[in-house]
Amino acid sequence: MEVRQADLLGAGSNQIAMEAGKLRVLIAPQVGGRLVELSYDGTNVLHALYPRSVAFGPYAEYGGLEEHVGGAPGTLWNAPWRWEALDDRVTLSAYSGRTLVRKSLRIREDLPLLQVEYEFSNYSVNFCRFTFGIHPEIAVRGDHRTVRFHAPVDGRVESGGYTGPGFRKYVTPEQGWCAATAEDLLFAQMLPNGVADSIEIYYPRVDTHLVLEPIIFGVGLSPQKMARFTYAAYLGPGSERDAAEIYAQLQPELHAEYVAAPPAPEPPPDAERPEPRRPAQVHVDFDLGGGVHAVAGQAVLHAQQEAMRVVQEEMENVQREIEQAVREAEHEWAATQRIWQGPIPEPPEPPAPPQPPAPPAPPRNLRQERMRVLEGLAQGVYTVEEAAELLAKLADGA
Amino acid sequence: MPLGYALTASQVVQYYAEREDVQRALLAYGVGRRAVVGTDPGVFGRHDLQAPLTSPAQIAAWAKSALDGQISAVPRKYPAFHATITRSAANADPSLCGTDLVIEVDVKPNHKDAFRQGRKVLDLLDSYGVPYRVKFSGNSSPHIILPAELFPPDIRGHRFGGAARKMLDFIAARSGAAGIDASFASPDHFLRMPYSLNEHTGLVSVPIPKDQYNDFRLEMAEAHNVVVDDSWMDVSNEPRDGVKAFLAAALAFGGR
Repeated sequence: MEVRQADLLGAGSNQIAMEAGKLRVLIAPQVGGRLVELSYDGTNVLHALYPRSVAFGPYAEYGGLEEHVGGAPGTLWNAPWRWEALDDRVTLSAYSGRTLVRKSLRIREDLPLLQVEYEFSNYSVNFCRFTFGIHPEIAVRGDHRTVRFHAPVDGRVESGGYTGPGFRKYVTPEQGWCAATAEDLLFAQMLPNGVADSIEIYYPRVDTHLVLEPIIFGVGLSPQKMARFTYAAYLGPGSERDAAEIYAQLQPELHAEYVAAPPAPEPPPDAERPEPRRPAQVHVDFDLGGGVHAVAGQAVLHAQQEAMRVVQEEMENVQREIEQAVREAEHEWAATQRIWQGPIPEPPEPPAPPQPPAPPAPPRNLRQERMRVLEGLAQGVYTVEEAAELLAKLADGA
Repeated sequence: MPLGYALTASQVVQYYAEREDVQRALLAYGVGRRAVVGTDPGVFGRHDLQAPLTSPAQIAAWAKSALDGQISAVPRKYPAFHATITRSAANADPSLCGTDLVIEVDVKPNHKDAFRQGRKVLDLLDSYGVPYRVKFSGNSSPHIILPAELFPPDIRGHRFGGAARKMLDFIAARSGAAGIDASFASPDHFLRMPYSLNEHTGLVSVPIPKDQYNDFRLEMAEAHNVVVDDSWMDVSNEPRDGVKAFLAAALAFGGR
């Protein structure tokens, strides 16, 4: 596999080109680490726009294949990703909050196949949960209307084609693959069985491409844990009938794991301080009973001072994180409003029951309430939509 | 199948319906308490949904019904069992009836910080020799519980509200812990039951042995790592000499 970097698209910054056999992949690390080209024998199957873009509010459409971390379009779609070439692969990484998202790409020599190892490592002290989607914008030789989509659903392969812009459908794949075909070319995306909860099939209203997006609704990570899985994209001769066969052949090589995270290769943004060491004598003295405050005075004082200092610093970190979350939430919400024609249907929430009379409430601290909503958003307690709704209510004084 | 730790709907059913140890623990804690299951805070206050937990089959049925309407294999929110902090029903041992004192350190943005604040509370209770139980909320906080049976009948009964307010104020002031939730002075308050899943994270509200508190890691609350201790709430064999001194100090406490 040959890897080189050059500004092949006149973008003003280099792209990374990976080539093996008839397959070529072009990556733009500076703009979401996206694949801007995935071509077989000179035929690109991705909507080629970059370095141009089309703005939809705060979101800009660059085409290619991007990752949605935390719902569409997520936190990393336009973030600069670090990258390095290692032996037979190219690795890109970026932090979403304190979760490191990393992908290692290599092109197989024996098949026209791009294999990507995705890794998510939680370097926060909190549990995190988010949605992850692999979002390819498909247009074969610049044409999306002749492209057909295929996914294994309910014991059969569900296929369809262009019926007009705005068509959107979610299917639950019975196996871990979905595919697009145009003439005799097959683009098959493959994940370990069961990892993708849904496939989004979408012809956006801009009418320039087809989206065939595997979505994982629940990536859950305890602190210092890493989840990883293999994604493979076959691009070569074939039809939808071949997709299932290729998948069956490759399935043993597709893995999903949940393991201890390796040490962070680089400190997360706003890295948390290490645990303060509690002076050993504090514990001993506390066990003595009621006289603790007199007996352990100095040690307790030091421990408290240290704890206060750490708490103060961490609160400042949290404040920075919240401010970042505000920016991201506003950004994501605005983009979602513009881009989505409608969210995944959810069952209606039951009406809130009448509450027993409460004691007189203290004066409201709207700023604090707003912070709680944003903290909830950062922790995954609220979805972006719920957080936006709550923030709007707070803004109205409701 | 999810990625990382994200229980699917079928795994949730499996947890509540097939793990007999979990069912046993929920039933043991639930004796004499009103319980409710739901995925949303709005449900937990609904009196019409509250009932005593009586059988494993009921636990399974409640969990399944709370999952109804979830369209994804991975639920957006998980069924959580909550129960009153007061044990009052006739089927409970009279010596166990009354209201538990619950100290929740509500510092949500930072699990480590919440546990650091909780440590201060534990240190204070240790200094008096007061027995306690600790469990993880399933999201961020520790829940520190002083079972009702530790207190004299009037304190755990009709005087609970006033006494609990004083105890919580005293603990907050003397321990220096931030974020103590004062709402647990109400005997009608509900608390996520030990071994219930947390509705937001799917982590288990798992009891934490005293000697593991400082080393508690969130992955210990992942359902597959949870080992059930049936007698977790039982403090009958623990010395209570310090409770009297603690109560005397707390009830005489005049404020911060």
